[in-house]
Amino acid sequence: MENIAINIDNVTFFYTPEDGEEAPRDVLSNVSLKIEKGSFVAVLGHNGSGKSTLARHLNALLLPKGGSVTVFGMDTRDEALTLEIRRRVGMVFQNPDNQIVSNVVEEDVAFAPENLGIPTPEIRKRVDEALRAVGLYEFRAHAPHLLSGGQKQRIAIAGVLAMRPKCVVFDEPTAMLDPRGRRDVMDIIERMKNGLGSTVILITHHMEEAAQADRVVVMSDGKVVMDGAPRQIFTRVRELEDLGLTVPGTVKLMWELRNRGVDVPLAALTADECAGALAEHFKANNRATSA
Amino acid sequence: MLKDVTLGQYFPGDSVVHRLDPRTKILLVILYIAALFNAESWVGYGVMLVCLGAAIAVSGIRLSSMVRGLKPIVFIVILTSLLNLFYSTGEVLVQFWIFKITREGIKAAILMAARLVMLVMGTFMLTYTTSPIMLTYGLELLLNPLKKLKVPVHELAMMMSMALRLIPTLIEETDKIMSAQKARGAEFDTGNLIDKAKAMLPILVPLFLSSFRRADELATAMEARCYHGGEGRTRLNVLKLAFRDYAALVLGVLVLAGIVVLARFGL
Ligand SMILES: Nc1ncnc2c1ncn2[C@@H]1O[C@H](COP(=O)(O)OP(=O)(O)OP(=O)(O)O)[C@@H](O)[C@H]1O
Ligand SMILES: [Mg+2]
Repeated sequence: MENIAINIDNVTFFYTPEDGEEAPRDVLSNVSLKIEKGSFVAVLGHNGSGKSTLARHLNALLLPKGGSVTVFGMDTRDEALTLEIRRRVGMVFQNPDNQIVSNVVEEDVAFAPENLGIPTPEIRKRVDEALRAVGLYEFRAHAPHLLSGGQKQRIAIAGVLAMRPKCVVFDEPTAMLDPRGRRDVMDIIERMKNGLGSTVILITHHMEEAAQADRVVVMSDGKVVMDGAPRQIFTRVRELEDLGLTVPGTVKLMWELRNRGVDVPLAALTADECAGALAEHFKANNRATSA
Repeated sequence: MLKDVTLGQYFPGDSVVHRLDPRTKILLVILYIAALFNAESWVGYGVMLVCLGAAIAVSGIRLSSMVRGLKPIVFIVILTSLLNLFYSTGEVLVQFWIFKITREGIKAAILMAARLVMLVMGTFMLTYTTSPIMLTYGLELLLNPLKKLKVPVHELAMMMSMALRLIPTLIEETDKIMSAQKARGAEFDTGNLIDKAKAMLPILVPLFLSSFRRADELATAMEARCYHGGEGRTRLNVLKLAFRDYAALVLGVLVLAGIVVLARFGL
């Protein structure tokens, strides 16, 4: 248990129906996952598969109806621990416009430390540090609504970093961003994992982003249906397609080549890897024909 | 067209007026309004005008921004002046049909217009030179004693700052929805009042729905960032009264006293 950050044990959840609605349907059913400290886990799944619902269990925004969630040794059902849990597990949401609370960048980043009652000089230190970490220190006195989508999302991340969390959950943080904003956000995630040693959980519909993780969890209809290293998961092309998901473009290319009888390895998660494998294949072919 | 909305507008700057504590500025505006309502004569109004002019000059806010903000109240100013003009008794100067214009009427009309315009300009000095967050923070501190009477002061201040935070987003969104409706042939500038109101309906419905969704998401994001009410909250920027705040408040009280004394002597 020592190196487990979050232990999700047999969790079941349904949204309590409003009056006049039919009986509730389980949105999560018997989900169990152990997330190791310092790991980078990507969560995939079709729309409505329960990813966001699961994410909200990790910082006690939702409480399990069955089973339990233990965060750094703390049970989320214990109300006395809610704040302690939330300061350790930060959360970044999809729409940056709906998570920024102030008309001034630095005041927004300071929001969480202010709520935690941290002394003023220390808040200043954390805000400056967090804004430098996302590369927006020069914008500290700006109005967030005048910045680009990618910049706004980086401010939201800074607002979470200022809590100094041990784990950060990203719920589709790049869904509303352009390629440039997406790359900036992914760079920050990479640095958080490597530099700060944070545990990162990334919910995404972009397979290329998921391919950067240490571990990929696939959900379908409220259940965990696949769990493993990206290399293992993304080579199960047929199964993923049956679940309404795709695989990274490079894996797809290899898959189609193999279907046409070309003998290339399937597990090429990046463009670099794919090019390497193809070059290898062509060279071998050339040698074979010239010999 | 919605870009001109001045509600909640703030012009960042580094003047003495900007640097005054928001609490000082709120109190000064209250003193200013009290003095304005006690002023009765040309002399009294003259003193107030000098005070306002000095504040504007020091703040570095352009007079054009001040005047632009007056647009929405032009109608009210004209209406009240006209009423004052015709409904005063005294020495008759001109008379036609049922109207008579008196010397006192003219004076009352001019002073009433001046009072309204100066009142609005004075409050602009507060909102133009204070960031919304600081304004609500100042208000919260000033109202803090009411907490003893179980008034939810922190909650009210938080609601106000969230509203101010959402205004730019909602304005942007309204613009977007209007463009979308225009692209489908909706017209907002033609027809009579009822036609215009009808044209607004397809904007208001999506705007309402999306603001509820936004408010819900914002509340979740605030909770995720450990928001749990005002208890035990600290601040990045702490307000501290400086010498200039005390000086400004003393000056404000002196002006009010002066105006009251002048009024006593019929000036
Ligand atoms: N507040 C709510 N009240 C009732 N039902 C909800 C609520 N939020 C989500 N649901 C339902 O729960 C199911 C799972 O939703 P969830 O948001 O967890 O899915 P998701 O995997 O995050 O999907 P997406 O990829 O679209 O973000 C959906 O069927 C959804 O309709
Ligand atoms: Mg979701």
